[in-house]
Amino acid sequence: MIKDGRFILDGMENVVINIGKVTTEEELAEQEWEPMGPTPKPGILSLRNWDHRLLKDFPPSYAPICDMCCLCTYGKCDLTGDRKGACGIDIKAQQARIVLIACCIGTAAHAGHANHVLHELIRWHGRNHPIDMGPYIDVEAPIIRTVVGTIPKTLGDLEDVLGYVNQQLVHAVSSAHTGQEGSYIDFESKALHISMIDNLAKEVADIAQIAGFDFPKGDPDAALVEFGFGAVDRTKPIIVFIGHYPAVSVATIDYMEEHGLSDKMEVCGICCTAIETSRYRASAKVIGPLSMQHFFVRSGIADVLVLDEQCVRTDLLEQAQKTGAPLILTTDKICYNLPDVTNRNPDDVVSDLLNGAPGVLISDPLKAAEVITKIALEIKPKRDNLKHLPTEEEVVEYAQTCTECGWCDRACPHSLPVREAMVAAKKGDLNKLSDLFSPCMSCGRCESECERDIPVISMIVKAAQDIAFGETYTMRAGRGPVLDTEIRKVGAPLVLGEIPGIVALVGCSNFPNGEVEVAKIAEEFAKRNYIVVATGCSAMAMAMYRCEDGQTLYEKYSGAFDAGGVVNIGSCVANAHIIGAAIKVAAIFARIPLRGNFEEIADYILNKVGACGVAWGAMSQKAASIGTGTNRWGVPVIVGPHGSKYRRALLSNKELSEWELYDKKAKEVVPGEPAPEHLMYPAETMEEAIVAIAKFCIRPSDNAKGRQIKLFNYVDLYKKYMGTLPPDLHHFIRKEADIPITMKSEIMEHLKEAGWAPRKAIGDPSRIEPAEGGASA
Amino acid sequence: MRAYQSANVPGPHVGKVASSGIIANAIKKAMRPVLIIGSDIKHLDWMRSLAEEMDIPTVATAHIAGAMRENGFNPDRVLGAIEITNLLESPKWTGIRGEGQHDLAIFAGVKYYLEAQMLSALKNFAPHITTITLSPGYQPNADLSIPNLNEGEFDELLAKVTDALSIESFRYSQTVNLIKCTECGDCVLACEKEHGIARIRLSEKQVPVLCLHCLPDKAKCAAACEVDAIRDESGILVVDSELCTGCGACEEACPAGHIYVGSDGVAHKCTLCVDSERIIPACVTACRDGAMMYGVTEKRKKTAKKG
Ligand code: SF4
Ligand code: SF4
Ligand code: SF4
Repeated sequence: MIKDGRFILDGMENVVINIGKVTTEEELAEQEWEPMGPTPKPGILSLRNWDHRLLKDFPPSYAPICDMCCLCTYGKCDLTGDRKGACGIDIKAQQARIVLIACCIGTAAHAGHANHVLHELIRWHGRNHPIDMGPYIDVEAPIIRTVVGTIPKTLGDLEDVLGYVNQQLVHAVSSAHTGQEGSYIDFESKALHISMIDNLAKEVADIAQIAGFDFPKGDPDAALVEFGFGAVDRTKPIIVFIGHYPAVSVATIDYMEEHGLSDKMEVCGICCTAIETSRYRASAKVIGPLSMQHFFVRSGIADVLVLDEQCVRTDLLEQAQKTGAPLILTTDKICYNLPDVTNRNPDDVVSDLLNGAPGVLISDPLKAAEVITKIALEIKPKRDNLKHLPTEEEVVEYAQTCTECGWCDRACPHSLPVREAMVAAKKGDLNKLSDLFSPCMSCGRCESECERDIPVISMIVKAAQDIAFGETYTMRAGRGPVLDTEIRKVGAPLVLGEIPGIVALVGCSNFPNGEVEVAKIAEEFAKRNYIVVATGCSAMAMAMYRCEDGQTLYEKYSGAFDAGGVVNIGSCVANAHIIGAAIKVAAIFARIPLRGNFEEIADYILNKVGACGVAWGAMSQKAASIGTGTNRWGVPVIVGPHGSKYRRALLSNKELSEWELYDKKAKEVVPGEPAPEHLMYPAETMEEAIVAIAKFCIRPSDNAKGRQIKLFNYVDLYKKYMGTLPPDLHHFIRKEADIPITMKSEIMEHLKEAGWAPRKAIGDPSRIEPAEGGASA
Repeated sequence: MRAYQSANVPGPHVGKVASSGIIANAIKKAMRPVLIIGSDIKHLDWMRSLAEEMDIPTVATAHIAGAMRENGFNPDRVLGAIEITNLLESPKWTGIRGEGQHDLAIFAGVKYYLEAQMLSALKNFAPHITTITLSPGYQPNADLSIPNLNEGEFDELLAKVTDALSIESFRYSQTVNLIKCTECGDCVLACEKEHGIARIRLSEKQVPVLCLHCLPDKAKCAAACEVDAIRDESGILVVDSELCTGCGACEEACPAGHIYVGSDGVAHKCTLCVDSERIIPACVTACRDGAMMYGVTEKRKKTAKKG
């Protein structure tokens, strides 16, 4: 059999035949870093046992948002109750199938981003461009090490990882085809699998970005960047980048710098592109999270709108046209039926745009950069006299055409009181409209339902102009991964519970009361010495809030991954580093081998790392895969009330089932505790979420001191919001030493009533029981 | 009726828009109801008197427990909306009071879209539970929902429910919409499953022959019965099969041709399932075309007062 490698045939020295991937001496040496674990490059079946174990403790609980299936032409099928579709599927499996599809879409979006950014960077720097994460990070790609079993040294190495990612996506998506999987548990297992792949793709994307764009390499003191509509200097031409993929904004900044234009123009971003751009240059302004895009575009401030990919409003062409701002599309993900002018002369394109072409598609970032800069400079004077928002008088006039039918309220995903605001505005009182600015995510469903075509969004921004344009904030630029030195410091206190937990605020921040809730959650836990980390729109949302002393959270709290830190890790793809940090606790503090060793690592995290993910305003399929992937690594996730529309929660039922864990030290199965209690939990309100976060950070590995600290926070928060002791407290107290000293007497009383008896703490808690007769892991 | 959040269209199986009488009747009928109060609750006082007067255990979701206690309303349990839903789904759970799984879940003030999801879960996975929503806005996933009402109308409805809860005797009615009826006989089948012998039968034209639910003091069947086997139970006539001799006098007397003496030798008539554990009559639930309807009102018709 011919081995993979590089062959030169005798007499044909100029012909090189490559079979498979060539392995060099260096690579061989590299492969010796750690013996290979049991599951390198796992397929769908490789970690199925782990998934089934997770799903046994946290069984899926479904809430269909639609009782139907219309995926094939047998349908529509009515699956309500105990009915089955024409293909044989029942409603639980169908919900799980949709969960899988959502996770695949989310994973594909991140993998698409990773593919894009990596190929562009390889074009810029070559395959051999080194990955260097700086002097303080030795374990630089913890997810790749654990899942794939390799250490990427160059951009080219990352391409190999993406090959595996893309292959897994094919298998996962295919199992959602009609007539494949039929068990909800196995659909869930596949969703967990592909969402772990999502984490991997994100790690690839962000490592490539850090290496290729020279983003901060885990810098706790990353710069503070200006934030908000008000931060934008409106005397300069304003370019706004919306989306996630930073190659175009980076190229544009480079182009400006080369041409001495940097201080003559404003580069701004919305959604993750904003975070990425500010990771490149702190002079870039962040407008805000995705909920701001429609408001901002309506306000007409942008002279040029540049879209890349993901979470962009799909009607921005129409919206941009209304404000006279040209629209530049830059990836194959978004084409809007506009002409692809990548290969045309940039000056010709600029002149077309000046002459009224609404927008163009330019898929080469370097070429796009030139067009974007030139058109911004040229169009700015032409747009100066345009008026975009109605005047206050016009707002009142619009309101007066309102028939008070109330369909705006009924169309609003939040049921916001739009009608009431119109009624007040009729009489000239714009305060109620202005009050909508914060909770409204500018989705526009109210406008699109309105029979009178009342421009609700424009009216809200106008009414709220003092808040919208008057306020500026600061955000710490995304710092990238957590340093090994930081992990060394926090590893032990985290596992023992003395740092009560890591609270990771990730994903969108739209719901249900606007950005402020994400910020308040962050503040509550930073004050209590948890490690608060954030990525994506949540990291931006946290900037739009001032503490009582007037400081923003990023000004007030340190950017270090340590107790009481408020850490902006970066964009959505950067949230891979949060899982990465948990993995590094296992690797650096507990010295568990990473290489191809997913299950042991995830088991460690689930039982010993008190972390809780919060995707409070989660909207997208990406949030589904982010959350589900986080779950597979053993980290519980809380979503907001709209998160119930993802259709399934993963809930334990402490009232109905016994908890069992395996004690690796005593080598026996022992009664466990509901810690963490749930794995995927939609909370109804911020207050409920706050209490749940404190509870979900409890782990069986806590020592007595750590448990005391965690329980103190849980009890204190529960009392604050619910007014009593938590009724389930006895589940989390193993022995008297676990009880927070200052609360001892009242808790003892509760325990007596609950019939509590002390139990043994678990020496080395695990979910993996060795097979009959086998050795313990 | 369109859902309050107009895009909240779950599928073919949508619940009924209920009147105050139907709501009150369902609450009175339930053996083990539970009241679930969420963060958007606006009528805490009303809910408290409902819980107290009808002795209904209460679950507070989200963080509403604090506000409830401040109002002197102590919830029996504090659980997440999804947690109580999950418990209600389980046949193993013995309910808030340990007396057995609940048969009626009354939702009030859980955020509209979250409540829609919880009701969907119960609709699909908890056939043993009837659901009512007392939040303002039609919830198609609830078995019984109030319609889309403005604030004033909603207050009025709650006041009417209060009245209806206090009365002894309801006025019942039942109709079948013949345009919707496909003559499938599902109602008869469901009736037979519930009561052993079907009380409704299909006419020669294959449409169900329903009881007119005459006022008890006006009903010809009851008047014709010589052993007083047809008794008034809170406004509806129920045959006491112990007393019934099977003489057939009622069958003769009934103007609708509804009541009849069955193969077991006793008379059978529709009771809208008041004599079973069901909260919504079996035929009404069974009719997939929504043709079978029933009504419960707190008011007696004028003619009734004279008698
Ligand atoms: S995939 Fe199955 S359930 Fe869906 S429409 Fe086709 S047959 Fe019906
Ligand atoms: S734009 Fe705002 S008010 Fe209108 S429907 Fe969307 S969230 Fe509601
Ligand atoms: S059985 Fe006949 S007489 Fe008796 S209540 Fe019904 S319709 Fe009236």
